[in-house]
Amino acid sequence: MSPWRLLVIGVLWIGVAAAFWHVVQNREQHPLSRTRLLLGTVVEITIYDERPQRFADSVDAAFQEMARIESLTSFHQPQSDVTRLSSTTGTFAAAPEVLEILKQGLKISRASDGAFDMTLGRLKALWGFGSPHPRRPAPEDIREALQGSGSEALSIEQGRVLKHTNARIDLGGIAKGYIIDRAAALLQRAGVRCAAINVGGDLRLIGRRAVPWRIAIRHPRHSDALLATLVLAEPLAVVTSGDYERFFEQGGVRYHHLFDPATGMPANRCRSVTVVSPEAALADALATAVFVMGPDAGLALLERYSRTGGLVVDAAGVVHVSRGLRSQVVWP
Amino acid sequence: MARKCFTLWDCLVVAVLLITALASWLLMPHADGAMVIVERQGRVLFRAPLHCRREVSLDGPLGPTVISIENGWVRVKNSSCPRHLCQHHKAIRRSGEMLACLPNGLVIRVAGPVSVPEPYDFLSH
Repeated sequence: MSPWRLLVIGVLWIGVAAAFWHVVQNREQHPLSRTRLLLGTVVEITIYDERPQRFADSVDAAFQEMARIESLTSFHQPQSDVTRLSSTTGTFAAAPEVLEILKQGLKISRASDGAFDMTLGRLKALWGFGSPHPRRPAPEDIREALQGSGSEALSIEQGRVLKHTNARIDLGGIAKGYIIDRAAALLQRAGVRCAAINVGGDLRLIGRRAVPWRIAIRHPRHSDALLATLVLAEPLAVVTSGDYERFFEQGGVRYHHLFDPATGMPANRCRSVTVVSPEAALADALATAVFVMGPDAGLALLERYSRTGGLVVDAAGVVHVSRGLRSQVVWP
Repeated sequence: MARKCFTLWDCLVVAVLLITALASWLLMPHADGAMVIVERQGRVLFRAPLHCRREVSLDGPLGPTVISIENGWVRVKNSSCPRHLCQHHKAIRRSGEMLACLPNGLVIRVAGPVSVPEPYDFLSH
């Protein structure tokens, strides 16, 4: 065979191989994405697989599981465990899921010296962030709303909840994360190897990819700008709490929905906190705790948890990053 | 006698290779540009290219929600929901961005492929 013939056929073979490779790559990168309105926000589950459609039923089942646990933990629903627990003093037989959330929440509450608090239901209702007209309450009303709150208001003994005061329970700072974890576990049991669950900007990643996950963090003062991008080789949860999500301004002062349990006022040490951790429930609760504690004490708290780190924008706009996360942050 | 450079067999091999390459290209999913997808409880109600100017009114439990697509952006132009939060939300254009009207149960999202890849997979906020 002449060298020219060999060359032409060789080039053609390379071209065909490249075309096939391109087809395979495109197929692998074509994810299945489904959304639902749950937990008061948009929930999106994305499956990355060569044949993602085979997991469509599992995605539906994950949404159903999320809705089921939401119905147990929502304080908007009169028959939920949380609503009934709020109106009880004494012993309460909570669903196993609620019990698990309370157990984990109490641990984080103690670890954060009360900065994370699941008993602020009355205070939150008083400020009215769930209503069309939130307002700054009078100081005496705030003091009254804080009475009976704190981690000592709750304990768990022999699989039952003991509520010692008339505190109203609000699992807003942890239930969403827990629900994300449950959906992730369901998908993994169904055989999903690579996926992402996005609940209104709070994320849980499942599985490793050929390229690392790139998670951008919103700038707390410029909604169109990115603060940074996290490049994560590991599948982790990423949760951000910020003073920009729900707030109102009165007399030139910004009042937001993340409260300091010590004062009953919006916490004023941070603008936003992003926590990266293996579990979304932990990341969710720690993001709230760090927001209240501020960058120094908050990042010190994160150091106590394995594979957990954070990025904090303090009240002056200065960015603080925990040691373990620094190499994974890309600045714009 | 001078030998031919390409025989009939050579031509056949080349033809098979070219047909295979063409078939691969045809089978490959092509980038048509970003799409606007409107869903309610996971069911797609409406789908349109982001680059086509369009206005659509979708009925929900509280009445109509008017969605406007213009100059590569999509936004809620008008809504019958009580607080109009969806109406006040900024327009979106990037693949993966979403708008929602919770009272009317609508999710509006932009889905790729896009000509310029996003610099991230997800936005945490």
